[in-house]
Amino acid sequence: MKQPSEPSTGPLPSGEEGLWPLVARGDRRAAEQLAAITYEGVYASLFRLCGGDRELAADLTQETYRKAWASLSRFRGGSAFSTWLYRIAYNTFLNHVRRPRRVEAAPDPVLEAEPDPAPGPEADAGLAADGERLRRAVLALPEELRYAVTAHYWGERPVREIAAEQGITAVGLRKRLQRAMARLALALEDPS
Amino acid sequence: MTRSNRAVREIEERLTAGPKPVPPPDLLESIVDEIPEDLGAGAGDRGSSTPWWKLAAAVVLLVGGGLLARQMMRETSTVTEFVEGDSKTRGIREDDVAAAGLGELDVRVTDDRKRGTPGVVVTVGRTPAVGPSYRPPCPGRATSSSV
Repeated sequence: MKQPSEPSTGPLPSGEEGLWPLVARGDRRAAEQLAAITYEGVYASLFRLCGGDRELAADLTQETYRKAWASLSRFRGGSAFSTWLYRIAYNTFLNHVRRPRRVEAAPDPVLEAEPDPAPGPEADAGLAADGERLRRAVLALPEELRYAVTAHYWGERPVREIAAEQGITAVGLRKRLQRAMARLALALEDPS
Repeated sequence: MTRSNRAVREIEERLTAGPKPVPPPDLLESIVDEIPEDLGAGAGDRGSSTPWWKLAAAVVLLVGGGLLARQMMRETSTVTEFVEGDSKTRGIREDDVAAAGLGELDVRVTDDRKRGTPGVVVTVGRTPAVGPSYRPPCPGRATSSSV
């Protein structure tokens, strides 16, 4: 088995493009830096996918990185590291919602009592209902459209990056987004 | 702007509306704590060749398969086939075999009814041309003849 390389002592590259090769060679400090510059985006996208559930989004973010470290050897560098990471986060979310639940976690009284500093979706009941309706409509899209929409708008991944990760052209991805928007418009018009 | 364009624009705005969610303060620490010790193991092997044992297994399979095929080709000089029949007709007659011009072939027709299988087994094999020979059939049992 390949031994992890000695930790780098000099200054680390600031971008993920420079950090990724060091992480691939087993540099733990570079991995910490890579996590530090990417985890907020991963959390934000999972937060939106989860409909504003902070606890769940945090758990799934941790799970995403656990999977990413375990499958580093599969990252081919065809897209940015954070786009690859988004794909793992997205799959982790889907696995979570498809997983059968046998035991419902009891509500934590401490967490229940603690005021939430961030304005959650409950801040405005009307907005929250609208947001939830939109989220459900997005999640009801066909897989390729759903991935395109969530990666672009919630994962904040550029069109070109998503297209590279999907193995299609940027024009092809824009068409998917257009189709998705048309479907969403129809779904949201329908009051049922 | 058309109505549909406006609707699309509204959806886009709603998708990105609201402040960016802020992660819990201890989340990064939890992520960093879970970075494995053998980080990157295997990542440097990207693009490396197929493992040696896979290649060895492929070669063994290829050679073994070839030898087996060769052996089978040799053994198929004798063909055995099963011809269905019933208790009154044997399904194939020795005359038919003779008429077919199989002079150099050894055709053995065996009535298999005694073994509980209604039918006839015809065995066709190449034999050296040693001249006609005839063995009288055993009544009620197997019939064998060389043509």
